[in-house]
Amino acid sequence: MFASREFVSPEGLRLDGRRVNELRRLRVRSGPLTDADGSSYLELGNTRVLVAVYGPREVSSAKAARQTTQSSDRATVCCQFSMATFSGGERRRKIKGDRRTMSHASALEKAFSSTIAIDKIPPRSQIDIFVEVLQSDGGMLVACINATTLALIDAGIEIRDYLCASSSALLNDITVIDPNQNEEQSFGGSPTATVAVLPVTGGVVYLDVDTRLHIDRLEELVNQATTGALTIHTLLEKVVRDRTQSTVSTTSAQQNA
Amino acid sequence: MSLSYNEDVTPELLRVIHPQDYISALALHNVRGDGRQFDAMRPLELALGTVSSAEGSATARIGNTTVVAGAKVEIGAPLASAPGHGFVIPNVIITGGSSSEAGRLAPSGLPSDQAQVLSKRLADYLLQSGCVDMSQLCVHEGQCVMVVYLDIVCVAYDGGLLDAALAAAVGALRDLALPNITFDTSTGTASLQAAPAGAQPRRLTLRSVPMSLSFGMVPASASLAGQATDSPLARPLLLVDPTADEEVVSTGVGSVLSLGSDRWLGFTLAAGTVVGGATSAAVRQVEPRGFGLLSLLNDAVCAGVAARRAALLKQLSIV
Repeated sequence: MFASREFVSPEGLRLDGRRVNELRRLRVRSGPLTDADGSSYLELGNTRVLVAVYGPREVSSAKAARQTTQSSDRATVCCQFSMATFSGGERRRKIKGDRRTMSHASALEKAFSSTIAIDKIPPRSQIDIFVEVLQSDGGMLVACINATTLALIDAGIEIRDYLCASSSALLNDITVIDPNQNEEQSFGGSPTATVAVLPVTGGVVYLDVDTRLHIDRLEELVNQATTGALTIHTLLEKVVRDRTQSTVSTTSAQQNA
Repeated sequence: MSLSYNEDVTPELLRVIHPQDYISALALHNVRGDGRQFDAMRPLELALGTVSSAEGSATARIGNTTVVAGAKVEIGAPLASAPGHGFVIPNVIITGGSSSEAGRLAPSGLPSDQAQVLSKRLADYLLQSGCVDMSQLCVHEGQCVMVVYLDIVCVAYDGGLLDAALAAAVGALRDLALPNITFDTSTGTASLQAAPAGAQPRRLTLRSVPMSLSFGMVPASASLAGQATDSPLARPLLLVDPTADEEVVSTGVGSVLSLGSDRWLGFTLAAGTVVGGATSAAVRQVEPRGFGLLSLLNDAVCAGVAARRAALLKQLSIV
């Protein structure tokens, strides 16, 4: 294991060359899958995820059917989360159905149930979100939330606001933003905060700190993660605007022709 | 000569409610849904090294079908019957998001039938083609060999999955950087050595490159019975590299497995939902003499196989 001071050098640089308040490179593609109603591919550093969204469509899964009978005036959001066996360091034997993937799926379901304008979606219908993690290098849930927002927009499903996420970690008294796998797992799991916010309407939809942490440090950690999420919002919005612009100009060119 | 539908039925609607007639209607104009000729295949794109957490990886695309393969190396004991041979274990996963139906068919987390069949087939093809000399995976004979887990994830499905999966599998094997493993005979433990800085990783030598080309057979359209015999619809159609839509209406879907320069690895013909007059008529049509099913390979399929093979080799940078 690394000595503690090595995570951030005296010059303020991290092991991968980033500054403490610097996000990893975000690369996104909206609509890579043609069969899906909406899809997105997102790379956050070396974390790569692919999201497909189908719906709203008639209820097919048992889980959605159960929820529909419970509250018949609402649509249901269903999320399937799976990780490729080769996505991490060790080969994973199970790609879905274990405790960690179930908890990610349920976090995504809950977060997006309150982000999608569910009252505008036909009741008793189902929105399916399929998340596939191809490579994980820290910030997996962050990447999944941002990618899902983009896929929902691509699908034309009405959302109240962008749901943007980022994370921050406390490495030996220094707060770093958007930690990678190496930083997340340092010191046997350093305190990491994952935050998902609605940047325009204001509001926190998801907040998770998974390790023991002194209460005095919480605010700083959450603030850093929120700053990261707001930065991601500007990046995602640019992608959506650019894509819409190009779609509009292609369509109008076709109509003129 | 036209199909008898009223004019409210748009092409898009016809595609959904009566896919076979949709394909037939297009066939009257010698064209397919995506504008291809019957004997034209979609280009195969292959990129190596797309996932850095895997020791070897590749992404293959055929039209809208996208497949990501990743190879992970583990240590294992060899079989007593082949003490110097390692293993390559392919496993196909079709993600729920890959098509609108995939998420409904296998929601329980179990691999679908199609994925399991494909895994078995790929294992057979990789073994039979002798593509990988398994002795290259030996660390210490009789004691310790490398096991290459080759996981092939279909992220977008639009037909031709075997073709794409096989190409991605071969690509990942080509890209595979073998870890530097030493075996201590006195303690019987294997350990991973860090490669010297700047050293080229050891890679597998591929002795052959198996590849496949799929085709589908669409029976003569029932609603067009009694048409002139020179109509393209009077005979069953042979579609090279069918899309998912075309696979659904095909009564027979098959694949040609090639090892290059007239060496065939195999040939499969899986009849679809209806095995009957249409399929046997199709076989009879293209099989005038008893040369087994191989005579199904008409010139178009042969040319397609050759062209795809050339493209694949170029992308694998093997010439």
